[in-house]
Amino acid sequence: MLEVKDLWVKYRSQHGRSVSAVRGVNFSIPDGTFMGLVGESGCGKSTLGFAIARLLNSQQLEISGSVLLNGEDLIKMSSRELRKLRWDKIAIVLQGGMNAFNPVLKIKQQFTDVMKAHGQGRAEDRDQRIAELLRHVQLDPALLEAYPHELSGGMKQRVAIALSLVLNPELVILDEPTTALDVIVQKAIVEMLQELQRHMKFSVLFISHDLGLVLEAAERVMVMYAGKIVEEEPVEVLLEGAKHPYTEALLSCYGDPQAKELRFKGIPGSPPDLSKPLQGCSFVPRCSKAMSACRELEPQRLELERGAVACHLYTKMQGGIGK
Amino acid sequence: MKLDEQTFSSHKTAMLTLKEVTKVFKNRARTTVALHRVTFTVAPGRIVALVGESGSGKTTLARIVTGIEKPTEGSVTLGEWQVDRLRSSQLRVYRRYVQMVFQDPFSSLNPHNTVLQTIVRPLMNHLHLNVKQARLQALEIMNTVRLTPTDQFAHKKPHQLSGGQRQRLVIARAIAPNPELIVADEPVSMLDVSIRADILELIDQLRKRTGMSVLYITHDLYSARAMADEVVVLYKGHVVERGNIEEVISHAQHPYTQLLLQAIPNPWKKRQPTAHRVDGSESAPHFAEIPAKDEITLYGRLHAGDKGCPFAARCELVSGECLQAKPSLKGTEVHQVSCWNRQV
Ligand SMILES: Nc1ncnc2c1ncn2[C@@H]1O[C@H](COP(=O)(O)OP(=O)(O)OP(=O)(O)O)[C@@H](O)[C@H]1O
Ligand SMILES: Nc1ncnc2c1ncn2[C@@H]1O[C@H](COP(=O)(O)OP(=O)(O)OP(=O)(O)O)[C@@H](O)[C@H]1O
Ligand SMILES: [Mg+2]
Ligand SMILES: [Mg+2]
Repeated sequence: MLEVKDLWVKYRSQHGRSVSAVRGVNFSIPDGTFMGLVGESGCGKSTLGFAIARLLNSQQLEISGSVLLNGEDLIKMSSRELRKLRWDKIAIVLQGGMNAFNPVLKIKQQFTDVMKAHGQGRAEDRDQRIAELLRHVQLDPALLEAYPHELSGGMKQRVAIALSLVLNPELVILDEPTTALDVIVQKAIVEMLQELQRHMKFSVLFISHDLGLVLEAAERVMVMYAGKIVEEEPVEVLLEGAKHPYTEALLSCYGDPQAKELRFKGIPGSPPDLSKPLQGCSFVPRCSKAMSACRELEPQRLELERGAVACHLYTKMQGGIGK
Repeated sequence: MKLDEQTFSSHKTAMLTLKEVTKVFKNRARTTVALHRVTFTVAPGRIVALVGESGSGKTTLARIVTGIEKPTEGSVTLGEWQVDRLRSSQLRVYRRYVQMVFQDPFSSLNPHNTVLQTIVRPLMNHLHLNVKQARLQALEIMNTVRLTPTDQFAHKKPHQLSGGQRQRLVIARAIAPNPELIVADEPVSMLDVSIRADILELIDQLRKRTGMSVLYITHDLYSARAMADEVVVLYKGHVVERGNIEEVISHAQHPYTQLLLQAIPNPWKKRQPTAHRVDGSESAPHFAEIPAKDEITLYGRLHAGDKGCPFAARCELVSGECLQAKPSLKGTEVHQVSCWNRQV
């Protein structure tokens, strides 16, 4: 079980303005849950993923709050403790990571490096494990002997996913795992992930800017805007009707491609500059339902029956704005 | 805002015609037929979507149309230009008439040039305007692509622009020399859905305003439908279906086109347990022992389609004749399909 409490991440910059990329985020991922995280480019999704896996270089940033994995706070851990935990408990597939394989090493070597570092001993056991993982991601184990450049983008992404599973982690964070791939390969990879997750029972944080994809892939969805989670819900609840106006706007960017009437819309305006202080709700300038309170007070996360939302439309309904 | 009539004449007449275009890449390891007898046209002022998965030959076709690459066989013409026979000296002049917009708006811009410099350069190089004229014209173009207020944007560099703004700049640079044809290779696939519509709409407005035609390359049939008049579906370098976009999407015949339609993320359509998987592997309820056929093909082991239908290896309708001979495009003026088992 992963619990994130009041997490803040601020990138410091040498000359003046620092960027608050994650601004007070709260959520939890119960064991075995396929959680999606969606939001526009630059809203802080990767930063949040990195912060959870503690992959951020803390020299250049300020991080506060807590990230509890089975009750242990990762934020307080030493780098030695973290190294043990990574891959083993939490694994991350980086955005564009499929292009980050060491080009001169065979696929097999990329796996054995990780396994050796975590003390997985006998060579035969390792080979067997790698072959099994490759079959899990529907690749021919013969590919063990291939070099990264011999693989297509889709194949490389499958290998990256297999690699993340090598030590049976409890949580796998996937940052835009299919963004660079075509729709057919994308769909195949998402279906494969769902199958693996059901079978091996790890939990997933699936990060993407594509709400349509996240809704197809995940069980629960978190919507991020300007460094905050503005809505969190099970997929089926969200599909019945989004609560936050931002989610609603995102949802209206999609439609049935074969429907008679084609709706193809965007969201006017652009997200706020995270290097400037924000007052009130950060979505106000683009929101069609903004009220005067929205400009002054920042809406807080409000727990609902099956999810949560941070929007004054709902604080108001719950009897009054603010606390 | 009125566009300068001299520069943006709306009387464009050049038709892009591809006839039996074949492109073969050979190296020591293997021979790849990237395009196989591709034939279609893009009429002036029309938007044609070229749709297909990764490796289907889309970029190769774009490179041939822009003259960067020569076809192995077949002919390509744009109006008077015999594109497949251009010498490098002629190529520079030809570039004025065909402009490219690439997928990655960041790497296709020079990071040291400001917005204004980026647009001014093609105006001076291709239209031979002097600096003053070019600057005026550039500001006009910035208005057209809505990089406004222009005085704020003129001196920004690419890293100071958002993804959507960068792609606007790429488009501005492309329309600057008043081309006959724009080839846009996945112009929105790296952008957020929230700004995609905006860029596609801009391209659409520009062709209406300037009369240019557009070859819109994508793997996403949804955005193709939002944009294009016609569609050409490419599979392993073969045109498997083509025609009027509405017609093809609402009555898709080729199993591959249908696969592309199913693969579009569509949260409203409840996921049905399909008999065959989108990646082409037979129903794999649990961990399939065999890799997806698609992947085997990419790895260069399975060479189905050398003789028969290029799609046979992944097709659920496959029958005897599919392995024996290649089908050809048949159908009506508005819709054609190349399949032994399906017709319009
Ligand atoms: N190392 C860094 N130093 C300073 N600012 C940074 C750094 N990394 C990211 N940022 C800023 O933090 C914000 C959030 O970035 P992040 O990469 O987390 O966004 P994202 O949601 O993952 O976007 P995308 O969808 O484009 O991947 C952005 O405004 C970005 O410019
Ligand atoms: N210069 C080259 N030498 C050898 N093979 C090539 C070359 N360029 C392309 N190919 C091959 O031709 C085929 C078509 O490639 P192309 O880049 O045109 O596909 P695409 O449809 O644009 O794919 P994507 O969606 O991934 O961009 C591929 O099999 C590719 O490996
Ligand atoms: Mg990111
Ligand atoms: Mg391409």
